[in-house]
Amino acid sequence: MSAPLLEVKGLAKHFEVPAETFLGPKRRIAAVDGVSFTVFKGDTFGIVGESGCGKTTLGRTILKLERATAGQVLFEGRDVLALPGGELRRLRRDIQIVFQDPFSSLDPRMTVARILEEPFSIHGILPDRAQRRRRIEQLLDVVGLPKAALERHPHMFSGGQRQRVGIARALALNPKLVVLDEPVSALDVSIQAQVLNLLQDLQKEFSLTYLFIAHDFSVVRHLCNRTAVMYLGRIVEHGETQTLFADPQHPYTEALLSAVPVPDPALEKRRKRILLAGDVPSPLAPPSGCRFHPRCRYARPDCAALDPALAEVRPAHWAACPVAPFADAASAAALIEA
Amino acid sequence: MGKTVLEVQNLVTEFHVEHGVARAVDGVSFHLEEGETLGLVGESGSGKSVTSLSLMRLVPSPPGRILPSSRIVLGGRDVMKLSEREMQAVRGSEVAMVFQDPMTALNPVYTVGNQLAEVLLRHEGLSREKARARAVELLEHVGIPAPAKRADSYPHQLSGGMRQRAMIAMALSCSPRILIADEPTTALDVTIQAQILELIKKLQRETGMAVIMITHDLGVVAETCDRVNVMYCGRIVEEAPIRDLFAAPKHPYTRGLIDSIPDLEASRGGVRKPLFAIPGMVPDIHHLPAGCRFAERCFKAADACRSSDPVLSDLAPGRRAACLTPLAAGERAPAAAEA
Repeated sequence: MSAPLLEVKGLAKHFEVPAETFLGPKRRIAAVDGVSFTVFKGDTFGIVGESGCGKTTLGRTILKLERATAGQVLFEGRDVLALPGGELRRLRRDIQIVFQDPFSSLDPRMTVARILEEPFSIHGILPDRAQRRRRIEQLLDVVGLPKAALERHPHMFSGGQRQRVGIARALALNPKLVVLDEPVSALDVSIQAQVLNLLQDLQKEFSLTYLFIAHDFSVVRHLCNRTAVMYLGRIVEHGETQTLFADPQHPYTEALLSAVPVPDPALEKRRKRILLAGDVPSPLAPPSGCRFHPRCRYARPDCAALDPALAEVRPAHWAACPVAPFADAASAAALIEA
Repeated sequence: MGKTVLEVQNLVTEFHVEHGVARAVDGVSFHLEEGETLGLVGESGSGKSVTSLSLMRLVPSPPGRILPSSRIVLGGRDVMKLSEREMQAVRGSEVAMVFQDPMTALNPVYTVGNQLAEVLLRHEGLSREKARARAVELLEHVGIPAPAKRADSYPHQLSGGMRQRAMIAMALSCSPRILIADEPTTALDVTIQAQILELIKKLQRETGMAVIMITHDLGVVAETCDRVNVMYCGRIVEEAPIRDLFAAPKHPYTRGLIDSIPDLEASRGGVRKPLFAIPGMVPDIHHLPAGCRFAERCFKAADACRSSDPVLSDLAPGRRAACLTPLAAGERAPAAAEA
C-alpha cells in the first residue's frame, strides 16, 4: 500500500444559524461532525451521501475554504489547518478543487485564457509570458479543448466544455490532490461519460489522487477504489468500493443501494426495494443515539440511546452499526430475488 | 392493448428568438394508451419538456407557437381547436402535470391547503369547507404525515419530497385521466425519489390513469415505464416497449445512451474500464445539419446519413426508429464493445 497523502482526523465543522426568535438561543448545525479517513497516493476516494449529509462542507473544510471547528487535516503529514499563511498558499498549489456547477464557478467576464492564467499569476509561477502561454495551450489540449477556446468567454461553451475548463484550471499548478465536488452531476449522461473518462485519463497521466464527492452511487462505483458513505455529518460506512457495494454493512448503505434505479427493466422487476420512511432529519436537531435509527428497519429500542462508532467489520471495511444482521445473510445480492 | 387516450400527430412547436426561429419540437407523433406509463426520454434540449407543455397548450406565446398543422387529440377532441376557456377545463380535470421543481410550481404566499382547495373550488365546484376537508384527505392520500397540520404550511416549510407529494396531490385532485410527470424526481435525493416513484405507481394502480414520464434518467425509465419514446434534437428517434428498448435498441443514439451509463450492478472485477462516451455534442438548434441530426456523433454514419433526413418508420409492431441503418441485435460502437 502506498503512503497516506491526506489524513482527516476527527474533523468537525459547525455552523451557527440565527435563533428562531429574537431572544431565543443560538442554534448550531453540525454539518460535519467528527469525520476521520485516510486517502492514499493514487486513490480515488469517494464520498457519497444525500443532500445535507455534509459532504460538500467536508470538502470545503479540508481545503480550508471553511474554518474547521475541530479536528486535523494532515496533508503529507503536515496539519493544513495549523499552517501559517505563506505555507498554506504553497500548499494550495498541491490541493485543487473542481466545483459542481460549471456555470457559476467560472467568471463570466474573463476569457478562458485569463481564467487559466490566474493560478500562475496568483502563485507567481512561469512569469515568462511565452512560457505561460505555452503551458496554458498545453492544458487546453490535455482536457480536449481547441486552442480557439482561449479567447472565448465561458457563456460560449456547453456545460461539458465549461467543466473541462474548470478541470484545466485545477490542473494548472500540477496538484497532487484534486477535490472533485459533484463534477458531473450537472451534465447530461452522454457528456458525463466523456468527463468521467477524461478524469480517469488525467489521473493516470499525472499520477493524481482524487477526493470524489458525489450523490450518484453508480458514478462513485465506477470511478472510486474506496468509498465512504455519509449521513447527517458522519461517515456511517467506508471501505473498498467493491466490497462496500457487494456487501454493505450499514442499513443506510443497504437502503441507498436498493433505492438507485437500475437501467435494466428485467432486473428492476425482480429487485426488492427497501423504502426508507420519511425524510432525512434536520441537522439542527439530529436524532439521539444512532442518527439513522428513526428510518432504520433493523432499529432496536436501544438504538435511540447508543451512538455507534465506526468499527472494523472485516479487514479495511468499517461500519457504524452493531445491530443490523448483515453478518449472516443479507447482502446486496440477496436483495435481488431469484 | 388499451384504448388510446391521447394521440399526437406531427406536433411542431417553434420559438421566435433573436437569431431566428428555433424548432424545439419538430414533427413529433406518438400515442398514449389507457393506464400505461409512457416514457419520454432525452437529454437537455431534446424537446421533451416543450412537448409536454405543448400538450397542455402552456407554451408561452409569444415567443412560442404551436403550428396549426399539429394535431393533439385528447379523448376524441382536438385540443388545438379548443378555446382558451375550454382548455382551462381540460387542464387539471383531463390532463394534469407535475413539474421538476415543486418550489417554483407552488405559490409561495399561499398555504398548501389553500392552493389545493382553490383547485377544488374552481374545477369541482365544492364549498369552501368541503374543499378544505377534501384537501386534507388528498394530502393524507399522498402520504403526508399530519395532513391537517401540513395543510396550513407554506411551501417553504415543507421538504423537497413533501412538496412534490403536495404537487402530486394537487395534480390528482380532479382525477385526471392523464398525468404528465416532467422530471418529477430530478431535484430529489435517491431515497426520496424511490418514495415518489412508488407513490405515482400506487396512485396509477388505484385510478387507472395514464402517465407520461418525462426524464433524462434511464434508471427511472426502466423502473416505471411500459413503453418509451427517445427524443433527440426535437424529434422522436426511437419508440419501443421497455424491455426491447434496453435489450435491443435500434437507434445508435439509444444504444450510446445506454452504454454511457456507469453500470451499478455489473461486476467489473475491480478493473475500472473507460465508459463508452458518445463523441461530440448535440448540434446547435439554429444550425442543424442537413441529414440525420445524430450523424456527426454516430459510429455508423455513412454518406447517405449526412444528406438524407431519416423519418421515424415502423420496424415491427410497436417499434419505430428514425435511422437509415437500424442496429441489429447486439450491434454497438466498436469502442463500446471494448468497454
